[in-house]
Amino acid sequence: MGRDRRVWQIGHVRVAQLRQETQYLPLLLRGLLLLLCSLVTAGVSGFGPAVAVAPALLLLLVAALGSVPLPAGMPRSMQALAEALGAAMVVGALHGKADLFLPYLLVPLVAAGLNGGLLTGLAAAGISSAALGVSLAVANTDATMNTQVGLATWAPMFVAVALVAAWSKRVTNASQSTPDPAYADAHRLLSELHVVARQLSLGLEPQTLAGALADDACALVAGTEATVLVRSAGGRFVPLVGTHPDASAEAVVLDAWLAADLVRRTHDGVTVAALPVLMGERVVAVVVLTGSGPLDDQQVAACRKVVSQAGTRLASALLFDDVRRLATDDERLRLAREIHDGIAQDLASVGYLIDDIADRAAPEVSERLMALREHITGLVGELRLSIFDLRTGVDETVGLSRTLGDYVQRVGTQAGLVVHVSADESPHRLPVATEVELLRIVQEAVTNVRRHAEATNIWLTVVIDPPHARVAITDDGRGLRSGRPDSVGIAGMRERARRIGATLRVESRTDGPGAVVEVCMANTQNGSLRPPTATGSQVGVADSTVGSPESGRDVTIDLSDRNTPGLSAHGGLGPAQTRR
Amino acid sequence: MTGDGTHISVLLVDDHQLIRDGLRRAFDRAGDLEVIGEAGTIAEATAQLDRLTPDVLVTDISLPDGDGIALAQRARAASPDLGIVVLTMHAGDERLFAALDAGASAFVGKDAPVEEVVAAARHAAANPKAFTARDLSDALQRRMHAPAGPRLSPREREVLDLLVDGLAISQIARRLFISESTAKTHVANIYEKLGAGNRAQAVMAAVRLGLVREAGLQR
Repeated sequence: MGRDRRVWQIGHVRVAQLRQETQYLPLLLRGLLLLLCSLVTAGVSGFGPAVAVAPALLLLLVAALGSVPLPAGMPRSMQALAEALGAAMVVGALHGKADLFLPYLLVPLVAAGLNGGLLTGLAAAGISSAALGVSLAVANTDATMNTQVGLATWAPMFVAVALVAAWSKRVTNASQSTPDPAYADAHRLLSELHVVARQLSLGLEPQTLAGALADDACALVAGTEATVLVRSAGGRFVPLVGTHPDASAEAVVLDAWLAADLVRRTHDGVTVAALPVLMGERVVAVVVLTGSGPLDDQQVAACRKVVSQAGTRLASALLFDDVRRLATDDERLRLAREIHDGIAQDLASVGYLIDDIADRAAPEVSERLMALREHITGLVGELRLSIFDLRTGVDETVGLSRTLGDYVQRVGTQAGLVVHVSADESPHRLPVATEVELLRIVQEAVTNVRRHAEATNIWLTVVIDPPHARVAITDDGRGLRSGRPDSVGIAGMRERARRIGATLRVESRTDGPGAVVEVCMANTQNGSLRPPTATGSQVGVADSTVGSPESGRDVTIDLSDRNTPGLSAHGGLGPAQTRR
Repeated sequence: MTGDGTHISVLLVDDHQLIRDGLRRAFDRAGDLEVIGEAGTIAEATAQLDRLTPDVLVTDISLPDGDGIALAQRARAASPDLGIVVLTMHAGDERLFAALDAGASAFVGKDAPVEEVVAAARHAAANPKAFTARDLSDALQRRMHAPAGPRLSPREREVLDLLVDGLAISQIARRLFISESTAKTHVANIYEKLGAGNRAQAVMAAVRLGLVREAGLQR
């Protein structure tokens, strides 16, 4: 059944394409011209309606065949030539009775010249003359004289018309080149997207829209929890809002996704209803309602209505998010290349130049040059890290905590900081867009610590349990009270946090020197994230004299990749590491 | 080798003329080194390596027609005694380890003073098979402290949890919405990473390595 439907769809597409690509206007013009010819023939020659109409119908048939779109790859000029040949043969065969149709032969030539250019036009003129000559000779053997005269008059006319048409094509082409229709379509769509993006940029955030959708659904059905799930590239379900469903609920979600229709199941007194969000026939997300009571049909119908209204919006938001991410990644890589090939190399070569001069200079000058050299080494080092930052992205094959940990270790140790990492990550993933923003916030926070904090230690704390997440960068440096000049960076972090529906906390620590940057994604709708200082065992940060900025941490979920034997040997349950 | 005993011959490969100029001046100044050729692309470098047979190749990583690491690797394969110094503007440990794996003799950042490049070239000529880099000990430490145990992908962790719970492969496949053959592949990968020959060994290894969540064991 599914197969039949697909075949029909393909057939449908073909027919639609045929309809779309057939050129009706030229055909209509030819028809009118032929009608005129037949009327004149009938009126002037008095051969009767049959003789007047028959050639017109034949010529119309030839013209119609010439208007049918060709399969891709066949040149259009072939069609023009064929039409010229067909028309000339028809008119030639009827010579004597259809003289008044002779001028019509100019029409295919004009078409050939306009569509195909000079060569096609001339070829069509040649073919018309030859076909006319042969047809005249065959049909009218006793009037050779007449034939030659006819040909002598018409052949130059054919060539002249073809030339004029080809020339006019050239003139129009010069003034306006025909754009590729695919690009024209793309441009039209992108312009629309541009307008939409500018007008609705606030209304095109998947998290916000999914949250609104979940709220609406919850309002309709009392006593339920709503989750909105999308499917990642790897086929996993990722919650946009709400918690990750358990295994039995996930089975319902999959069924709904595959069936593209509502699936309801009650298990242990809990009803799970999965409603697909459709964009056309494609499923873009699934709204899952979990409640204790059974859903009645009226509630389902109401939910369906809400969900169907949200479909287009959510689908557009997801698509837009994807486009924006691709564009951003592209731009970051371009920027990295630009810095790498431009200013960074120039500055490095300036450094080499100073090395050279310092080597030959007098001692007191040399000393000052060495100070300058040190400064330039620092600048080039900063540029190297900027390039590294720009090129670092999230990896779909390793967990986010690993990506963040590697980054902080790489950059922190280079800056002479003691890096402490504690990570607690569930096997479920956050949406990619969210992971990217979290990475960028961590990058910015680490950069601030490196540049402004004068800290000795840096702590990275990662707790991921989708859709909840908490990532904190803590240092033991100057703190914010002294007016650290990184307010622009903080504004950027705040903007990123807002985009993923998270809260950002940037403040001086109360429990010691230094500052903390914490980004927290807690779902206020479905209960709050477990508190950051939950009662649990002490974080296993080995360097206990420094003291952990976090007083404790939940250790019931301990799935992080970092929980390896080498670390357990530290004695801590928490996967914490300390190194220099 | 064309070294005449007193001079170390050097081939410079970098697509930035100013960098090459700076390096050439430094090598000229050093006295015991001589730049016998310069190249801006992998293609030029390959041709010059064959023609000039220098003692030391100093190459950037990002070149217009390819990767300097790959060039180093080919050069090392062709000549075990060639000194190879890899220069880079990139940060990040993977380049450093890539250079090490390619058989380079030294790895120097472009922020370092030019004397470091000269010293690296001397080292490379004397001891082409011993790798040196200023950041090496830090990087090695980072690599050592990175999870040394088996690195299971998130999906493999899920499969492992279900294995520990005692589910059959067909049940695992159904639970995770994957085909049975995919589930088998995951299981085979887990066995390989844990060095296990069967399910019991895999579960034991996972428990020993602390890869199993406590909740999973209690269930």
